[in-house]
Amino acid sequence: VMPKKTASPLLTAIRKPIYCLPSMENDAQQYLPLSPATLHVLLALTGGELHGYGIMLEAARQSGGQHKIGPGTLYDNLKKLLAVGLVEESRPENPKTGERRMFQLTTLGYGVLAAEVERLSGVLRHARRSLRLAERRP
Amino acid sequence: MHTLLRHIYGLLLRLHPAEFRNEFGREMALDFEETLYTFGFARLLLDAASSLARQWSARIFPGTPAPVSALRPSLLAGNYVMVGDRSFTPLELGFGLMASSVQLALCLLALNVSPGYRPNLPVTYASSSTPPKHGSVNPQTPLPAGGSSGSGFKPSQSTSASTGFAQKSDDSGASWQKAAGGAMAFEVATIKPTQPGKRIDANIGLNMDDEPTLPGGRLLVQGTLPALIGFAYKIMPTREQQDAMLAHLPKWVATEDFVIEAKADGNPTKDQMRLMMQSLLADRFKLALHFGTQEMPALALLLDKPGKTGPRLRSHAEGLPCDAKWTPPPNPSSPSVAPGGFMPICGANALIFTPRHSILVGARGVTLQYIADYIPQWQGFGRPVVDRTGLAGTYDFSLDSVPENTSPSIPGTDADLDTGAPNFLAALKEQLGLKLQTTRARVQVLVVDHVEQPSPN
Repeated sequence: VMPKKTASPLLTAIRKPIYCLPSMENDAQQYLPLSPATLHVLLALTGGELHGYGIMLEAARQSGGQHKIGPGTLYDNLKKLLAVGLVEESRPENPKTGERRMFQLTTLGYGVLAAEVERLSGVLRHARRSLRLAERRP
Repeated sequence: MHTLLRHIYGLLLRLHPAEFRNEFGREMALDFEETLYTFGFARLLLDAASSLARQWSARIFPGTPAPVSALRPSLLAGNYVMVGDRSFTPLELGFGLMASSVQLALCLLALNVSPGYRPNLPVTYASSSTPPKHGSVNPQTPLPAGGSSGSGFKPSQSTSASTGFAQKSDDSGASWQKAAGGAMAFEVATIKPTQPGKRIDANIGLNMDDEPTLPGGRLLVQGTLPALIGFAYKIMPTREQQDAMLAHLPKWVATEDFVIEAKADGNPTKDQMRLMMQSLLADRFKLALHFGTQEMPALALLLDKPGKTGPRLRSHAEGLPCDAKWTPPPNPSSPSVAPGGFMPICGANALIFTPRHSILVGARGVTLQYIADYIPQWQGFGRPVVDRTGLAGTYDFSLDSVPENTSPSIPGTDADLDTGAPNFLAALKEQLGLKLQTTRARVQVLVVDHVEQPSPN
């Protein structure tokens, strides 16, 4: 539901999706542009919590098998994503039951992903326009 | 071979800085197990080596917290895309490589000094009670543990084709090969393409069942390659998984039907025939395949009420023993017939169309995993079904139902026929005390690495 124009600025801010809050936008911008791997790791986690292997499979699936992220690369990336708070551990490992460590997106992670998608959409729009113009040239 | 590769990878993991190793070492070891046959050892080795250099570089030159953006390309970007490496300078990376090389040299020295040394990384398996076992499958290599159950073909990440099938909760399924005597071959065999429209009277079913074979060691079967593989490895693909696998294989695999006639020495059992079929496929079709594990959407077979089964599912020990004399019941579909009582043999199931237009399926002396494996076949489910009932041993059962979402119609009309029988899921609950629940499960995956048209007879 779109907020009414007469609503107070505070109410407007609250009704906006969290990743659109001005402070969050600023936070998100500092991480852009994302590398392809970051994009795929974050995208993989939008479906919910996953363990490392799940992320690898999902990233490979999303990229049509082009980006096969090895374990070393993945955990190096996850280490950084955990450090900057884009991803968090949702469940610790449990060696007794064999349950693996699970990871999920944080609110900031969602915000960064949304900002990156928005940025890429702009790039695509521009690219399409440029291509159309190029095609019209004699 | 797998153990050696694991040790080499484990050694590389041990060389990582303790901080990183303690946090992610176990997960990396688990992922190595999962990805070895889909990514390939060389790639994983390269990945681990570059990770080693990066971690030591980061440790020696901590610098500022690493950004995650990709403003500068990584020096190590190659097969693997990196998440915004801190863009180490060549000097820093050189130091990192030197540090990891020194570590490697020290470890190799230690290996020479104490030949019995083995890296001892903890390796446990997340989603299955038994570790996934891998290995190329040929007549000389027995099927991995648990490989005798489940179903389904599923596309793999690579160009090879894979099939996922539910993994048994114990090792009994894999032991069929060992119990049957290991690798063996037919004395003589011919493989001929089927003439269009011609069906033969096969003398053995291309399925997972364990019915007795006819004496004389003769085999006569007809089927496509996926059916022959399913028979040889005692697996059962779901429809969707088979379709997905066929999309990655040459077209003839799906369309060409073969008649195989073979003769074996003595009176082999059906399991021994399977082993011989494995040899034949490897020899004549140059079939190469291996097993791995993959997490995928599945259906879990559960007890509806903990500790309680339904009236038509009972322990086989309470029913007619397999070797006892069986008398055919006058009305096989009557509810008064004991669970599975219409089946003359153990270890196989049959479907009967009842006078009230429902379908009765039953078996004697089968495991719950066997029932789970067959459910996709009976109902056309695309997902594999995994047994999570916790019920061990063998059971007898009868299930009377109409197929899910496909009510039979009155002959000659489009009107639904009220059979009075429940649909499959309701019957599963009322009669067997079981239910199906969507889940994700780690299932064993059969990967077809290579296949050719059969060599001439």
